[in-house]
Amino acid sequence: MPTLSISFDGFFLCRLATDPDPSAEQRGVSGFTYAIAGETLLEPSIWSQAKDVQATYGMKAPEFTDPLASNPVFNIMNIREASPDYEVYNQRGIGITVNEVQYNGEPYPNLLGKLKGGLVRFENRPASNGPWKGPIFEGRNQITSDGDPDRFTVNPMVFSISSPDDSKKVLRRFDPMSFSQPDAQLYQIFPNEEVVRRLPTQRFALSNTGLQQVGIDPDNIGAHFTNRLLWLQGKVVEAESMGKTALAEAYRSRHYAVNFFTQATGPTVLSNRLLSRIPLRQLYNHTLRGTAQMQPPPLFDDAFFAPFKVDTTKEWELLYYLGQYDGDLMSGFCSGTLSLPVQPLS
Amino acid sequence: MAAHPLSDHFPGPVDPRLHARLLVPQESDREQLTEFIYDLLMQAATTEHLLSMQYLFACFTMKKYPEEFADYQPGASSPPQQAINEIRLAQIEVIRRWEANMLMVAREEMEHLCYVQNLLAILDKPPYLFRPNFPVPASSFPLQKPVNLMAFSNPAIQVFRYWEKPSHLPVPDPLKSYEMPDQLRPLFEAVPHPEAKPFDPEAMHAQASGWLLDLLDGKMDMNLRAQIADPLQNGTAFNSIEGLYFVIKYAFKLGLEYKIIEGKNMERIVNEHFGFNMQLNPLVLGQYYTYVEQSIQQIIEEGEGVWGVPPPLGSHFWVFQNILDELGSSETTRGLPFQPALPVAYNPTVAQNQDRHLASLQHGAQGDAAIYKVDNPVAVKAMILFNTVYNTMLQMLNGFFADYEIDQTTGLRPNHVNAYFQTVFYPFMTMIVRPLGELVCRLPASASYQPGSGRVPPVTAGPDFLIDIPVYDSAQRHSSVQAMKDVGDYTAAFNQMVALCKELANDCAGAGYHIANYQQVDARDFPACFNYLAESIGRISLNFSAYWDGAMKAPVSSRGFQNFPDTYN
Repeated sequence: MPTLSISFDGFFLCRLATDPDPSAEQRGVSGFTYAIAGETLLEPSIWSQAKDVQATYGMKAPEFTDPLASNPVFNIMNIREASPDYEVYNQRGIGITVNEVQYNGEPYPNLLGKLKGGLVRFENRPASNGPWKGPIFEGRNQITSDGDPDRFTVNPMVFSISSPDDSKKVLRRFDPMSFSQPDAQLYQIFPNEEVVRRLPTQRFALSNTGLQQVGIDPDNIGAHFTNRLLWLQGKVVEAESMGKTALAEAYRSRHYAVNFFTQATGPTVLSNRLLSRIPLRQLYNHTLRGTAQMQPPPLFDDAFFAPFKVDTTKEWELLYYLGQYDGDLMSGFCSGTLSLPVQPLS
Repeated sequence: MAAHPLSDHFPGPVDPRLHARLLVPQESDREQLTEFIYDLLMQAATTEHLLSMQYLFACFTMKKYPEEFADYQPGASSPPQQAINEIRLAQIEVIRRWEANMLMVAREEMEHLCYVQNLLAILDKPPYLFRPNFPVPASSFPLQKPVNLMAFSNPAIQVFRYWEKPSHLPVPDPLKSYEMPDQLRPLFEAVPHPEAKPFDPEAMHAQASGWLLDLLDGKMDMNLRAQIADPLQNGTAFNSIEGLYFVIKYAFKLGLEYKIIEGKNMERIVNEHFGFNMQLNPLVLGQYYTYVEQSIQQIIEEGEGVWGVPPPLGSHFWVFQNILDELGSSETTRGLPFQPALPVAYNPTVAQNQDRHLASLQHGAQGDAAIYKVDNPVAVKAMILFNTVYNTMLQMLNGFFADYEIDQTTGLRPNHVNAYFQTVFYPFMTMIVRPLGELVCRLPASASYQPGSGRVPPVTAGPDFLIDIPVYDSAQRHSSVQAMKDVGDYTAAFNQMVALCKELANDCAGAGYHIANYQQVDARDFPACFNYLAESIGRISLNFSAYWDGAMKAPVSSRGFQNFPDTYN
């Protein structure tokens, strides 16, 4: 069957508690992710778009706003700035967008013109997600995972694309974790067999491609956090000189976490937790198979995608990488492709 | 007769009389020496266990949210109040960093406890996971101070620094801290603050040699033997951890080298890291003493430094010293009174009987006064839940250490061992024990408490880690923490926990109790937290049974996965 492929990439935000903190930890203490002064409590949702974070949490309070921020996106609550060396992140900020459209493996400029920059989202589905505001990586410290502490699903899974100005949702599809119980939360799905199709199919502990996507030199990963430490030291001084006491301590906490989890100067064997996550990415490859009887029903805007017509009763194939998680920024990188079975063009 | 040189520098030549005695072993030697080392290892296990729980308790008591300061008013517009808010927000950051370090220290004490279980395996003895209830009198503990459940505070950190200090380093008597609660003072005054003096391995060597010679000849002083056999009841024979571990190491070395005892149970050596710094070679067959020596070296090194060598900067001693330094400067630099901990009662308990506490049995009314009986019904229920969780955890640990084995090629363990492994460490300690401990510390201790606007109660409860047996009953010390044999017994325990969690969610809602920050965006109040615990424990129960029956396997096959090298784990 002919295939319309829509590719996307960008940074996401995910402020989840990390081991050895419990997964519902709200401040972050023993793990490497912290909610610091001026930010809201940790909440593990995956945020695909900065504007959604802003709509939910607003802007940083004046006493926590950095007048020297390199990008206005860092004035949004909970979105952190990186040191200047992490140029790709600082320029792009948080946001997963469409970057390519192909029909049967060939670029299709007519549709790309309309869809490039379209906003890709992993949306929430409260009925199968407990109290969280967005989909989450849910492992509960090996309670809902399968014994491999790093194999998490993204759940719930509602994938959508909006027009570049976000005025219109042009595509959306839900994928139930359990086809027979679409409203079940992950912890309720037992045994694990139904979960397996949504787990990563491959893991790349040292992904050069992933690192190159975000502009980190694979041969000098250590410099990524060394630069961050130096930059954070400077930010502490800057904040103190502005009389922003709490902001200075917030930067100190970021510095502490980066130092503790990379430099092995503390009484710790967790020294590589940050370093190991930056080069890591995992490949997910599954279909979206929600039906018209499930909420939300499949959506495909025929007018927007004309002349393509897609069969919403067939499964759509979604392949995506998640990785390059920077524990200091609580941000990772996503890239992938949605493949839609379309009717042949006449 | 010339002294016999041992194969390495420790601990120097064997006393000639002991050497001569060991060359002509007698039938009773094996049992005498084995039981002697066993007693010492039980004391070591008790010590590590007490320290770890004491540190954990202090961590649970630490403030996490600015709303836990009474003078923090979120959203205030007046500049003076905004200045106060800014200070409290800054202090919460500092407190978090202290807690992160202390939790790491607590975890390392657990690692030490694991090493001691491995040494028990080498001795062919069962795991030992009993410890007396808090407070533990100074006379029963090898460090000459009582062990209390103390909220994070200047005196608490002074005591912790004292535990971890090198022998030669003088530190002030924690009793002199102006914040030391009056009700704890008699327990501290029972043993005078010792003068610091360097650990003297030669003197300890001579003493240990004398003990061992007397032991083998059946001439050991009865009181001394009784102290070694039951330090809780008879008082400890040691005044330093270095001394205790020195004798363990020495007795092991002589026993193994002179073939009085044999190393056993290589398959029971646990080396799975749990995030710990466990890097010793677990393949101990034929090199048991190397393992004994290296594990004890690591235990001492991570604490107060090795045999008089100053402690490294990452050691426990420096963690507490740095906290004390920062604690001293925090109040003066910020200009506001600073209480970094919740008002958690000292040595809280739900025990009904006096014979549960050594302090009561040995110090009477003064011991009783050091214990706070929590009577708020919601807090009592939460503490009972905590104790159910804690005791079940000890039983699972016991089963894990008793039956441990792993296929070194496939990484597979027997089903029931796998059930313990997949349950008791990662999910149970992290997902249940810690959050529950923190919740208990936020509940009111007193039945007369009336909730008001989500502020912290005047006195709060705390987990008492109660093992509910008469502490002098030595048989129950073993049986009370024995692993359960039937998976159904574990399921029943998990179900009981789930039921209590659900009740507590309702109780808190009904009583109008709140966590102080409950009005913050995304805050999870008591009902949400207890219900989340119920969900997690319920699922743990299903997983546990499936692992036990072999329906679930782990580790999963890593088909095509590029896994982390060890250094990244």
